[in-house]
Amino acid sequence: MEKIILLIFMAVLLFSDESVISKCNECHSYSPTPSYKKIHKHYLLKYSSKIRVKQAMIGFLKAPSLEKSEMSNGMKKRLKPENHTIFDDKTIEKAVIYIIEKEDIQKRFKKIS
Amino acid sequence: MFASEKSSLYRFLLIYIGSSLFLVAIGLVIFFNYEKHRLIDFQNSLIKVQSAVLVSELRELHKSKEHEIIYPKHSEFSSAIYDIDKNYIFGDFHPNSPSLDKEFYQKNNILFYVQKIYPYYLGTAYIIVQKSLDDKPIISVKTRLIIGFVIVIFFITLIAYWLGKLFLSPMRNSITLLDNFIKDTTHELNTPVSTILTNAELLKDFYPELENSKELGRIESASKRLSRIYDDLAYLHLNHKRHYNIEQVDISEFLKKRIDYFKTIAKAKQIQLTYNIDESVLLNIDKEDITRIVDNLLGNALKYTLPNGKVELVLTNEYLSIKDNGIGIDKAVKDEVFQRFTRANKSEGGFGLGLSIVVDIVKYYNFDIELQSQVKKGTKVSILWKK
Ligand code: HEC
Repeated sequence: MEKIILLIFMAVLLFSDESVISKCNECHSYSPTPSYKKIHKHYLLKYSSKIRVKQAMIGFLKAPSLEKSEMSNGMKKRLKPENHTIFDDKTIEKAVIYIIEKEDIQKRFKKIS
Repeated sequence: MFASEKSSLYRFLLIYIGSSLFLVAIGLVIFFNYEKHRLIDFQNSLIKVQSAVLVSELRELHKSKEHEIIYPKHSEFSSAIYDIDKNYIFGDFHPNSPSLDKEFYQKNNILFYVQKIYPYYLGTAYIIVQKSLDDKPIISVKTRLIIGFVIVIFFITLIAYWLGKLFLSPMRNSITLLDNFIKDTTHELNTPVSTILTNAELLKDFYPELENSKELGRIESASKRLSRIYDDLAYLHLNHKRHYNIEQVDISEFLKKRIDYFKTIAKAKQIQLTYNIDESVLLNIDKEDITRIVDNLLGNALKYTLPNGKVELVLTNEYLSIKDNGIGIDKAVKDEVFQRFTRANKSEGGFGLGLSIVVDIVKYYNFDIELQSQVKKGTKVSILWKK
């Protein structure tokens, strides 16, 4: 069931493609805003599995706060995560899935021959 | 070595060697298991170190800015990583149904080590390391133990044999003493008995008026009995070294002569000795053996029949039977007598000795023996030739 939902999401992603993430890219493509890779790494380190990372990210984006931020202390001080732009739930979910799929560790491992 | 001595020695060796080997084997098995666990523990600690190396490699990979990640491969072991929800992430092997909750486990000859890590570098919550067990040291321990065991067997057997001999030597001495005593006695008995017998017969020849003398008859019958006891003893004693001289014997003729011999005894006891002998019954047998059979059976019949009784002998081509109307054998004792047949209990005088000899001979020639008896009515013993 989960896999089917995931597949549907991925299909939607293929068509909607970067349109969802473009809103985020407005900031996240440029310094000093952290890259998705960096953000993903921080979340991965604490939450391990895809599902948990997704839940945590969505949790933050729906109600940004200092406590929920997983970034380094220095960044928190400088960039004020509690002031993060709030988006509608659908956008958040799609964007988060996009990030997670793009940064998926399993896909990034080089196949061993 | 005597038969009884041999069997005692074997029994002693069996119990002694068996029990000591059992104890030694238990000790060796415990030691082997201990040693095996020690060796496996050692290999497990090696895996632990290798797993720690893997963790630091994962940490470095996590920090790396490269998009593509190359899984750290090692030649000495295989590994795989799992996320916190126990989903397989990656690895250079893909275990089927791994148990991530046990730290160490072993399947067939493969050791597994599961390490939980935090923080989750690359999302890794569990590392599972697989390494084939190096069983060479275990096999070498095993072979050394087996060699040791064989050496121990050898020494225990040696000691047991020596101990057995030591313990048996008093028994052997007394048996030898007894044996020699019987041998000497038997030997010493022969000459006087035959002297008495010949002279009693000579007396009758010289003085015909003594032909019917009761006193002389008793002397004759008593010395004949003595002479038969001598024959039995000599037979038993020399049996194992004797040479069988099997020839065709006319049992009918032979029996008639033997009956003549027993007539004096029957007469002295006033027993009516009748016989019914088929002509020319031929058997292939050692004369000595048929003598022992007939002498013992007839002797017993006469011995256990009261004065004025009857003893009847029948010989046909099928069997020889000797029937008396003597005291008979009790049913309970009858079994014992048969037991004695098979046990050939030589310690019993008279009956036991004679019948055991008969049974030995019957067995040797593959004859059959039958015993019918009723208390106070009499006994009938039959030997079936089974030709
Ligand atoms: C106005 C600029 C801006 C936009 C638009 C924006 N972000 Fe961010 N985002 C930031 C900054 C600045 C930070 C770093 C603050 C911090 O330390 O969290 C950040 C942090 C994050 C974090 C890390 C939160 C934490 O601290 O744990 C996530 C996840 C994130 N953004 C997701 C998104 C997504 C998804 C979108 C698009 C739907 C998006 N952002 C759009 C500026 C932006």
